[in-house]
Amino acid sequence: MLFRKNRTIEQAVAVCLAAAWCISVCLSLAVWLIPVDVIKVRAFDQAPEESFAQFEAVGKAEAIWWMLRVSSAGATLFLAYTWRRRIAAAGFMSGLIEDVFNLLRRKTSSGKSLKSLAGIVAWVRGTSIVAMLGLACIHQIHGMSKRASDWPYYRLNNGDEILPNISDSNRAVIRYLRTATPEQSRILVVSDQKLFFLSYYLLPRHLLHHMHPDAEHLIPRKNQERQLAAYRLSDLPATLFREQGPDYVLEYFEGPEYVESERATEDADWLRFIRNWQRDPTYVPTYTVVLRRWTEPAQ
Amino acid sequence: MMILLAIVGGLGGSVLLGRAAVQFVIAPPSEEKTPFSERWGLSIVLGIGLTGWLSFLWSWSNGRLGFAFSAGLAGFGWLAGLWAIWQSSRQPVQSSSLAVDPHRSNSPTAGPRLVKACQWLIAILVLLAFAQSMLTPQRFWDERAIFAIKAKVLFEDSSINSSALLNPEFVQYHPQYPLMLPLIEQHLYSLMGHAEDRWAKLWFPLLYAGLVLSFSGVCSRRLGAAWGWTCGLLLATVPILMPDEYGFLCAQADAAVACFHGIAVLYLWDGMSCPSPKFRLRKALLAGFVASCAAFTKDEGTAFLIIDVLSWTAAMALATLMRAVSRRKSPGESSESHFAMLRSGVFRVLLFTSLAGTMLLPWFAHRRRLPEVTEMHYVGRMSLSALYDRLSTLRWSLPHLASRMFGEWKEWGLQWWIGLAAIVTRPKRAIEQPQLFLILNLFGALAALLVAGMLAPAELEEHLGGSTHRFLMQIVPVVMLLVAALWAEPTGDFESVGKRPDSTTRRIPREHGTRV
Repeated sequence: MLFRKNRTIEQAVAVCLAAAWCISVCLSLAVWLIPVDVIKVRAFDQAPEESFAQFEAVGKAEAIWWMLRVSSAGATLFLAYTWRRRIAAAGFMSGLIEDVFNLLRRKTSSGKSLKSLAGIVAWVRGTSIVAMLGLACIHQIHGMSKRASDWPYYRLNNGDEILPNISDSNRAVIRYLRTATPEQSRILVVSDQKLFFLSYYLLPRHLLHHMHPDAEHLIPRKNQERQLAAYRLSDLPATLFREQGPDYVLEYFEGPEYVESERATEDADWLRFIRNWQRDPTYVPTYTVVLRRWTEPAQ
Repeated sequence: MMILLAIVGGLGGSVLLGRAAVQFVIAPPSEEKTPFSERWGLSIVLGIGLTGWLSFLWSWSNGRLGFAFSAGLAGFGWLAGLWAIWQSSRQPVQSSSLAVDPHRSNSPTAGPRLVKACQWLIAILVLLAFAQSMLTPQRFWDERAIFAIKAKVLFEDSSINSSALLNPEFVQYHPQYPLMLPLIEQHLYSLMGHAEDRWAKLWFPLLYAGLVLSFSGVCSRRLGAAWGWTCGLLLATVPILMPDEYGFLCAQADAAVACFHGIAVLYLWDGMSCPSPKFRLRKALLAGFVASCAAFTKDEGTAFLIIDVLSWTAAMALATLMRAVSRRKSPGESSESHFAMLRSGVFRVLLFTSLAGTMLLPWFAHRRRLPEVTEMHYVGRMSLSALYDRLSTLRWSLPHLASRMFGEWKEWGLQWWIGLAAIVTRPKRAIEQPQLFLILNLFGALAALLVAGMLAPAELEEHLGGSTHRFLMQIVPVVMLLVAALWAEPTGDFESVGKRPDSTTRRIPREHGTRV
């Protein structure tokens, strides 16, 4: 009887493995034979008529295709190996099913009165495990999908090159300072912005900023919805300049309280840079950026 | 190619350094059986912790960080680790380490196939964590503004006494934040010869592997292999830890604190039901070291250290009180007098606190020199009047916390519901000392979060609203440990989880027994 049961399980496992292997082989062939470019073109055609959406759709399709290629190849190899050892696999599967049922079902208990309670506990425990693993599956799929959506933006680029997850204005200022200042320079900034990302991506240049105490614990909001308090250049004491010995001074304001429209074109180098960046020779930035080489005033 | 060599050398050196520490200091094979998974999980966590601490101490004593030091540390790690593995292979008890993994045959949940399936799934999850982590550079606020910026400065200036880090005008967020993450990141940068923040993220999936392996190992040793590994798998699949992008996939400190704090609590819990006084002391010391790593990773770690001490002391006092009131011994309890047990417990608390405190002393000494810009100054702000004045914040923060824990389960996971269900379904077991410690620890952590919300100079809804999920992530391993302990099936030798085995258990020869 036992022998017949084992034989049945073995046959069932062998059939399942063979079917899974066939599917994975077909899938592998399909994803490896169809060029990525075909998929990218298809994604482009299906995306909404908007350049950003098309860029995202093409990148995501490329990422998903490569994920499918890697996973289907891995699955094919694994299933082929398992099918070769199908007798052991059948034993393993039947044992696993038994182990899982042992784990989930009610356990023996010494007292009769405890039996129902133990049953409830086992039921709650089993349901919880199943729910947690089910939720985990959904999250893993969602996670992979999220990574695929991220792919067009990040790819395998260094953060220093793509300057991820910062505003366009921050990105432009970083790129400008990289071109306009030598690597070891010290730049004293007066700004109504949080400058942590500028400081990070501009290293080994050292960014120095005398933060206004009212802005210390405030988190900035997108599109300058929250105006942070800041010092202007004229507010800073001369001792600060002497102590810090900056090579450059940068005035960088984006909030309406600090931006002076007449100063938008004050720094000619910046204006040239940003117009070139925007590919618009008449572009006038909406925020103030003025970079100057700092020389200590004569006593 | 050189980058790959540097990465393998750096990460491998750290893990093997930890392996040597496990072999020669924490769990010598001749003395205690440690499952394979626990041994390697602990190696990862200790190795990373040691890399951070040794780099700090070296630089604190005016040594120069950089390629020479990092290469020396990695090289030493490789040599010591390989020697430890060779030594381990000569020990017959540990040579078949997987076989030694205690499949408690008398346990109704013992199932080697289930164990194997869980191990495979965990391996796949760890691989996915590495792959997903590598798909993005560092891109979040904290990981760049606090930690990565310091790592780059340390790499460039080769010293924790860098003029930039000591300068209050230099742009960095939280200048007084601990240096564990910046130091391990600069360790890789020094070996690679340049700073590329994507590679520095490799430490975090490694910590994920360390946490899950240690957790599975300790649980399988204590609660039976099948249940232990199932709980390890459940921990590995908690969405907020992985694959949420603020968990182990990024280089923020929250997941790292979850790992260090989780393992500290794991070993405190383990030590509470350990039969041998020597092992109990060793586990307290191990927990002390790992707790100091948590405190050296993020300021929450210091709060967790205090909460560990308080909850341990309170659990001990309550358990002693309950024993005294009931005036009868539990079936699994040893013949030690209540007083002797209390004395031994107090001694271990002191040992744990002293080790963690001693480890942290140099850091706190150095921290006093660092600028205070953007710091929250929770301790300085704490006073009875301040707390009283801000009591009204609880009207917002308590419902918010409850919503994060229970209402938003689809996003962060079911662990809080399941923890609650475990307490409700096994209330008697929940008030035994080891589990009571876990419950008090969790309550202490939640209370600390509410107090932080009351004291923080930032806007409450913005401050707590943007960080509660990350704080809760840090105590996920403790919740899952509570679930594991409460829902483990009682077996022949352990009448109840966490209670000490009686003298007959201890007489079983270790070579044949499967219990510690």
